[in-house]
Amino acid sequence: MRCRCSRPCKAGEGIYDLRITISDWRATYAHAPGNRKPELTTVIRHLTLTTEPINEPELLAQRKMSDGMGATVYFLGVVRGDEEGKAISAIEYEAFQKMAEHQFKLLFDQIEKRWPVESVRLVHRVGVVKVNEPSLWVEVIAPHRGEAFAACQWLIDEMKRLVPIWKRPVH
Amino acid sequence: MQITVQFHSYFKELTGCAEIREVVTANCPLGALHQQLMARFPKLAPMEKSTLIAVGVDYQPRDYVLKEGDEVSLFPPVQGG
Repeated sequence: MRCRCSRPCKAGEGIYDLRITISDWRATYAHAPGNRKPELTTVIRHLTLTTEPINEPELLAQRKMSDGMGATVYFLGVVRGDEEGKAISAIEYEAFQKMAEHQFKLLFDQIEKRWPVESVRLVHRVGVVKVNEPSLWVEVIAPHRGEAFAACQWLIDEMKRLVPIWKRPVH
Repeated sequence: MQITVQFHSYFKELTGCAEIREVVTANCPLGALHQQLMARFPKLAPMEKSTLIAVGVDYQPRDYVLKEGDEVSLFPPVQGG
């Protein structure tokens, strides 16, 4: 890993040129839609913090959805060309990597408890992301749209409240 | 006892460093460490109310009692997305 910033950043070592993929987080839980007998369901968890561009076609190709699922909601967050009324060329994202991974894991745990999701996948860019490029990709798969929308919205809201990622506008 | 304190985001600019070793008294609560750090780095003081503090990878309340070897992190509100 190499750091491209000029600031003192010992605490942030590893946040640049970073690609962490945690794709093997799987858990089994009892899920009982309606009055049906509970059945064991495997929840797919996928978290990637990366300096690389978000590859949507690849993410969509990797989607796994079982017969019992009826809703996929995904969100793409894109860098806007202005920040607080001033034009910018990019946003530089910084993450406290170890804690960010842990906090995402806690959020994924909460989602599994609150909604009958089958899959939660999230990709967040770190480093410099140019205007019009995606910085965040989130996908939730659930039996119904209400659950999928709610879980996706909640995950993003909680991420913005708890996961140690910061942004700095680049003019 | 000695603990490690890391600063993230623009707190690195406010303090001029990313990591320090700090000596605290035994059974020192996190809130007291925060006060100690604001005295050492006065530019942190205006951010007192909004500063987030973690020990290791978990957020902790101001009454958390520090232990030898704890890694404390101070940072401004998070802004992912």
